[in-house]
Amino acid sequence: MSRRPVVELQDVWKAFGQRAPVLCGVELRVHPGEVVGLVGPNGAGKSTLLWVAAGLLPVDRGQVLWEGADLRAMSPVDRARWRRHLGYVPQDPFDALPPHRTVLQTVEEPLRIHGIRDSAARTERVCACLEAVGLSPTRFLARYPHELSGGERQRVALARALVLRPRCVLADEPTSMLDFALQVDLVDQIRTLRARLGTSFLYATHDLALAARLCDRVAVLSGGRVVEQGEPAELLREPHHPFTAALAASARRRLGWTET
Amino acid sequence: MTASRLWVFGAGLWLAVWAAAALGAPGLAPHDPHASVGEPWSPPGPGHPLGTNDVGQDLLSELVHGARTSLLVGGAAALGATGLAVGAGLASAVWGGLWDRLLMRLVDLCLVVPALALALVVAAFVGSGVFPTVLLLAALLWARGARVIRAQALAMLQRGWVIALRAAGARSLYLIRAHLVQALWPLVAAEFVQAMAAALTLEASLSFLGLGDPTVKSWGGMLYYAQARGAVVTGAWLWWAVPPGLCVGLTVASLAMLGFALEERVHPALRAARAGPAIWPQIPADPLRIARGVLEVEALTVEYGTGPAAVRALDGVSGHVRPGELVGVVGPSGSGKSTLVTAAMGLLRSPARVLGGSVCVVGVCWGSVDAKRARQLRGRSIALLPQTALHAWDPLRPVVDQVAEAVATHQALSRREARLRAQAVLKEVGFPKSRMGAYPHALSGGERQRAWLAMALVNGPDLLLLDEPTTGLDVLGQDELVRLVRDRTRVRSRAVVVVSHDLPTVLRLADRIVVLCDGRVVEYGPPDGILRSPEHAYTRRVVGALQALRGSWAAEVVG
Repeated sequence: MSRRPVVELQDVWKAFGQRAPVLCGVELRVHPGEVVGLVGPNGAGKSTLLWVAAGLLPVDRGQVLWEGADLRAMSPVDRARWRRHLGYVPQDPFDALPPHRTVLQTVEEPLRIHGIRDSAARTERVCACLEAVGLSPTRFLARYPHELSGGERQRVALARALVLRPRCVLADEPTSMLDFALQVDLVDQIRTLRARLGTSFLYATHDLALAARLCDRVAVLSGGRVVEQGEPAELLREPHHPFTAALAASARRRLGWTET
Repeated sequence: MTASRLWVFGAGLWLAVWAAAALGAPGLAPHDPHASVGEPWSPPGPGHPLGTNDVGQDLLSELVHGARTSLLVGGAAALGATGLAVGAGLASAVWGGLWDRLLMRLVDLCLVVPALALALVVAAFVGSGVFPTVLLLAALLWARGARVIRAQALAMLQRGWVIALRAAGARSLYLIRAHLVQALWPLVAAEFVQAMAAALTLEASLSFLGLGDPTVKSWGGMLYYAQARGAVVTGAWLWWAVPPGLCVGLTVASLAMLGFALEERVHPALRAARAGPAIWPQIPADPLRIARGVLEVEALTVEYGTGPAAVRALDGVSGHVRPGELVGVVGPSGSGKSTLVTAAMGLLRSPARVLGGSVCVVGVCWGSVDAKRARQLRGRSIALLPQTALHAWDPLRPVVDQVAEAVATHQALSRREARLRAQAVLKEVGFPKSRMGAYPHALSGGERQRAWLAMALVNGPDLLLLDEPTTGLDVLGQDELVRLVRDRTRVRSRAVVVVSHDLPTVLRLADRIVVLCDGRVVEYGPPDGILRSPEHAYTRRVVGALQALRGSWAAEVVG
């Protein structure tokens, strides 16, 4: 297997219109099989970074590489074809699924997009993915999003992201709007999936405690810059950047340790 | 058949009847609509069911023949206009850039040029007749729809599921074909209905100006002649103007009705949700009742819907909040938390039904007070920080004005005093002084949350309800909120209830915790007790999740 990063951002800058840039020279690599946490507060640029990494937003400066290939050098058709190696999980469970489609139709859609015509094969793949995320296919295949709870919706969204057996899943705070117990459940599910499938994840979250449980490496994003990155142990023991320290202190208080 | 299906059926029937009448007009109409077949100005009678006009033409025949032109011109023009609007709107939104700029300037142009003046010029060159009229009307009516559809499509492209599909390799044409047209269908149907209504009336105006074909009968034309020939002053309006007017009105209404029905087919979620009036069993006021708590809930049972499909949201929930207490309510989604909050505010609406029990705020029970007193209680005795606090703002006014308005609603104060009071409380919750005059969009999530907290606290409520207060806040914002609630709310409010699915937050805040699961109180006690020995399966699961996070954190730190 190649050890080239699946997704790599080199000195990426991005601004919307005339406003201050959202991303200011971001450097980030996601290696095969690696779970990278992208930790930062609201407005730090996490979503923008994920869109840029998925090639959905053009960058102003710098480059985005998919397995070493510069995105700008690829034709739109090639980019669309390469995206079979990408999955994306949105943040808001109530916005994550098309309201007019059943679970089966939703999860099989990436297979349709990439031209898998055999509907029995598609359904089989969908069932396997639903089971992998802990949903019983017989109970869920025919349901509509409004008949699902928030946690179930996010699992369906995760199943859709995994159905093409991608190399990397980009997850935009998929647990932040879920019940606390479900947040930890879903994070543990992702750990298991990674171990089983070898999929790498770029996982955005504002909660350092969740990131510490899930990730091999954490990049702290603040004001459009990666201010610090490293293994969770390093960051928690000795945060170098004051911002990392503040995030860690908040997360510790959230866990109920040091109350002030 | 339910009432609403009956309406849809009626609408369909109306349109079908007129479509049939239009198709079979030559055979169906009793007379030639262009021939003088009776006395002028005859009221409805045996020979002429709808009477005659000023030159003795049979009005029923005119109405039937008029349906041909009106429905054909209206339908074809609306179809053309809607098609153009969908094409241009979607192309603009999806491809953006130069396309967008070109198409939208064209839209501006069409919207700015007065429709009738343009019609005059064009008709002078193209001439009258049904086909040119259809083309002309379509060209006049597409622009507004294109703009609406573009705006909606742009919003749609930002939805999480669309981004997920694009990231999975879906291309623009695929998105349009597979999703956008279907998702925008209600809007398209509404645009079609509006375009058809506009086309029906514009067609009438054009006939009036001699730009339609004056030899062709239409509903709009009938209306015009009824007015021009003085039917309104003679009393003949009753049989001359009312029938074509009704035809235009009912046809437009029927189209709208079918539009709604189609919308429900396309969006399955709409079938479930239909709101109705308030429903509390009437409880007689009991003057001897002595309030034990700020909030008292007794054996409250609430269901949504009726019959076998009924869902029991709350099942005999009891509990109370004493003055000075901070009570936390924890539970998974679907446990009945939102219903409890709504019930505490006295805001339950059908399809919710209270099967039994009561909710009393400072000794006053919902159901025993009239609407006016209920409004006084809300905001003054019991205040709510809603789940949507980050978004529930009027975007057009500075937040300080909106907080001051909350003061003025409940207290007889001058504008200046109300404003001062608002500013004082905003300052108290740590809202930055320099941002007092700012509009909601310019504020961060944390600032908006603080401003809402100020609004809830500004009248010194007996009870403050915080509904999922940490939703949408990051850990830093959550931390701030916890400190704020702990240090500030108790000064301003006699008691606080925090309802949340986030156990860590509630543990940090509450003196006492109530665990809600499947509509029942399954466990309650002080935070320490819950944390040390959780009993119910759900409580064990959340406490387990918290211990797991603590464990993995500790493992990283210790190594």
